Amino acid sequence: MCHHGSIAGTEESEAQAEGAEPYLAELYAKSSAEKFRVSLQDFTAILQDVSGRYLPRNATRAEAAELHCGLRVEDLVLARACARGNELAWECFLLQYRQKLYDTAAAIAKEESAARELADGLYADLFGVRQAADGHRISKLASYTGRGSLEGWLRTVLAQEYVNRFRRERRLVSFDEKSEAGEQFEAKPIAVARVDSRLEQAVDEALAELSPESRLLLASWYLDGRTLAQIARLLGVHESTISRRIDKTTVSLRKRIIRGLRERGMNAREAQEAMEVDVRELFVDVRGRLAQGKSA
Amino acid sequence: MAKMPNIVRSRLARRTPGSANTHPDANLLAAFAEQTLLPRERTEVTAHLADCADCREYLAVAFTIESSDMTVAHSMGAVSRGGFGQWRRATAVAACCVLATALQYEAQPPALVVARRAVTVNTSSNIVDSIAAARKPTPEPGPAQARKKAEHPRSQPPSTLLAAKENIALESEPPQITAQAPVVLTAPPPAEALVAQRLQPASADAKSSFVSPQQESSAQAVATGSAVRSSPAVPAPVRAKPAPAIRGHGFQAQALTQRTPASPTVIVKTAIAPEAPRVLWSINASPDTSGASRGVVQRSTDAGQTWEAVSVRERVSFRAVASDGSDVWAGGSDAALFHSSDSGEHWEQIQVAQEDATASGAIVRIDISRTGEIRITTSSGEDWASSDTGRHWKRQ
Repeated sequence: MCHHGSIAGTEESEAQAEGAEPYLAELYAKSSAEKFRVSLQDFTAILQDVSGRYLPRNATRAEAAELHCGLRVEDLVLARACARGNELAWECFLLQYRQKLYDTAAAIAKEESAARELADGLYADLFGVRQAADGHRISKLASYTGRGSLEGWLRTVLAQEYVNRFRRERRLVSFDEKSEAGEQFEAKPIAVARVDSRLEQAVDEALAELSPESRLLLASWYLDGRTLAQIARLLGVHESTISRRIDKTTVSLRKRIIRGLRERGMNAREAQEAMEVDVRELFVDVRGRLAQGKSA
Repeated sequence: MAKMPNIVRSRLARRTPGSANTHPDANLLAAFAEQTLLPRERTEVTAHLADCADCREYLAVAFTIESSDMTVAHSMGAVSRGGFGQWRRATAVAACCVLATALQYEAQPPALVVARRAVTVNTSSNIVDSIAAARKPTPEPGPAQARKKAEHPRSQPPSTLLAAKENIALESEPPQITAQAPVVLTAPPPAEALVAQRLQPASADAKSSFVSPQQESSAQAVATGSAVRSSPAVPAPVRAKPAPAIRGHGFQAQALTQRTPASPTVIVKTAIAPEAPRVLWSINASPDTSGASRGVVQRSTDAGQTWEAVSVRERVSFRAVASDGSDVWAGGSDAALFHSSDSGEHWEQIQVAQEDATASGAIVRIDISRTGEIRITTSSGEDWASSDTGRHWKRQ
């Protein structure tokens, strides 16, 4: 059990290191830092570096202690020891994570050569092929802060690298960019129609009223096309909970939108019809708008 | 699932995080996926993810790259973080009430195991011990130590209980490691074996662990791939201090574990046979060291005090189990369904299909009605029923 101690901001590091509170000693023992020749002072400095990243400067000692006690100190010390070039730490890291790194890359990239390239690239960053001015290697492991597991962090870093590389190579364009460029809509030789602004306002208002969790659920299910299992995995709840929540939120959202439309002067039938409008059937007369802009 | 109007979908997609809402780094994203963020942080990250498709994509690629039938474990008795904890507790209490009303117990009701904690295993200390031990000569044990080692498996030094099998090609020349005993690298043990190895009495992480020597031996047996029966001479199991009981319909559910900040929690779904109330079936969905959840069928013959893994089929992640006397049904990934008529000693795979369709997705629920009809639900929303012990199925 962590007993909240007196470690707080970075300005107290020197004094605190000498008179470290019990919880720091517990965490230090738990982290096996001694095996990697990380002293208690170094360990305390690592924790303060982490709290400096995530806590405001006026954070209380209790808040700092809560953060520290929630860290994966074993992983954190291992990562930081590797970043410092500790040989034993690297042996441990390789034994534990090298194969997982390649397995994760293979699962992400699907193709063997791309997976190997992805994993090798990250491994090089972890090892540190660049050097600072003082000759020390710059290792990506120094940015690991122990908030989640080291393995989870490695997976996330791999995923980010893969997605970013995929985007660069495939030149993906975001939905917003597409709609602004007018690519989403096709011109039709019929009368111009556009989305009723009242509908847009009512929808935006209803979406803003949703809790972040509810919006995340809707975005994951309806926009990203994730499965219930995938969403449940990310949010740490059961699939049936996700399913019920999505249904409930969608129904509630519709009601809010209709209420918003009625507040904006539509009757019930108009509101229902407006809700069913398919934006793909609408188009924007770009030339007409440009002409209006010039004449104005 | 309810239909989402296209205009709503369109406006939802146009939302972007505010300029003050910076993208969470890999540390925060990983912590989010592992549910280890502070409540305030979780709210902020959730709000960002709701409006940022890029960050959602990073998370999805990183943490849902396994097949879509990955099980999510959640604890019925766990301390919660964030808004979803309230749903968990409500679900837990509701589940307890449903079970209590469905099962009419005359005798003393068995303890309903609602959570079992799998300690987040960081094996670095064991690996460090292995390497460090391999580098220096191992002293010969004295007579007392040798006798103690022979009597109790837990007295084995940690370095002999563990590790990972791989062919490491190091970038640089590895240091020469010499050892009196060879450093044996075996396949990563499943979560249960790691739990058995890591659990230590009176430690901060293991304060809520519930293990008995029987479980430990069963966990080690699982690691070696064999099913385990109860050992004849079982000392009293080690029990953690139970959490406050959850009452409902005269049926007491005891949460045996608490949640500590740095570790994931485990949920056990149970199936209880009214004719044999001391026999419980459950699914252990504790994540392994890679973070993936692998559902394992478990059985208890002593009302939930101790559990043993039941070997049904490898490579199937089980999600649901139900029993009716000696008839047991277990279902999981890829619509895999198995039936045992002898309380789990032997299993037969059952195909869930009709003439023109086959069940898809993972089997997430199995119900056995009083008439003996078997009903299953899959993760893809399909409901199937069979009234002849699984020989024929009909999609509902």
